[in-house]
Amino acid sequence: MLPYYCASVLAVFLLGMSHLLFWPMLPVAWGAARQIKTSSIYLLAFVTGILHDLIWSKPIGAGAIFLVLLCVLTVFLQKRFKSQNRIFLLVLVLGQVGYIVLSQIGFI
Amino acid sequence: MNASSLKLPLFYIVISLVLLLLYQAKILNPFLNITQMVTVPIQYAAFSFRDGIEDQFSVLTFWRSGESRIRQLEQRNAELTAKAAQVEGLERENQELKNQLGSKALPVTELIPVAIVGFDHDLVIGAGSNQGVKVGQAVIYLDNLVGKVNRVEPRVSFVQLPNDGSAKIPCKIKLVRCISSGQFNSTILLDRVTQTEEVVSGDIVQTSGQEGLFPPNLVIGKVGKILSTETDLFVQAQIEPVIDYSKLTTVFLLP
Repeated sequence: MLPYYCASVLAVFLLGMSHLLFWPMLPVAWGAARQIKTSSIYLLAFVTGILHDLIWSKPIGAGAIFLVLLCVLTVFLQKRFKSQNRIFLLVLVLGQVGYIVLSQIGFI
Repeated sequence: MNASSLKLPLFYIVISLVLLLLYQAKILNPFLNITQMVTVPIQYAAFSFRDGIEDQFSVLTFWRSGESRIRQLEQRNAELTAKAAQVEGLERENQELKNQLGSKALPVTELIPVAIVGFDHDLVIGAGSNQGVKVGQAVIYLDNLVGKVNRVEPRVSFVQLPNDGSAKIPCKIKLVRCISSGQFNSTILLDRVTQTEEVVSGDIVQTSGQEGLFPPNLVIGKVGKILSTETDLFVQAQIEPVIDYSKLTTVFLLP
């Protein structure tokens, strides 16, 4: 399990290395893969989003909106896929791609 | 997914939107003033760390382009050495003429050095309203234009680069007036040059100083590939910045 997580993180890190902002997706992906309570995943996403906005000097709230929406997608994925590994990687990749797109248009 | 399961995400999204509105209205500035005491050093450390990592990876790709780049740089070095000698002679001549005319040297503008703490859509610099930074201030590096401040927070400011989609800078190539416009945060386009004017690759594009946006004679870049054909109304070309914005670590604010 752990080597798979590490390999996924490394792959996604390389995918968006020019941003080095892949980390906000990690708690959400981890929470989804570990199948923690849905309410806890949302809280985790909100707190991570606010922290991200503060640390990277982004508009406060933008990162939180993005991560909460990613969580909605994650909850949907949890119902579709049973494989924790697959969910972890999907959330990371979708999160990273979405993040790059939104940061290029200046939303986050 | 039923309606009740959407209540929680909606709740968080509403809170986030409220925070976003408060942020846009600058109501959160006193709070940011405190948090940025901690977050700006973290951001700066992460930015430096990212640069370090990228340098490690650049070694892997250097073997492909390294040799030709070294050759180009050697050639450029030789050209610049010759130019430097010419400039030295002209400076001496200029000084002698000034002495004869009794004119005093122009006042040297004081530049304010600022560290870069982040680079994403905009360049993030580690000085804000607390340090007297104002929206619209020009940011330069050596004689190159880096951009202008377009948003200010208590301890950080955001610099709009010339390649930003909404950046339009009045420019000149020798005596020819032009407009440089950013394209999707990736390239800079040279526009509004009539076909009667001669523009060739390698020409230096500088700010013209029109509209008072920037001081004149700051280098925006060099003319790259010509994109227009002879039948087009205006000459269009790519502008290649002389500096790599993502590699800068310090820039200077013009007062």
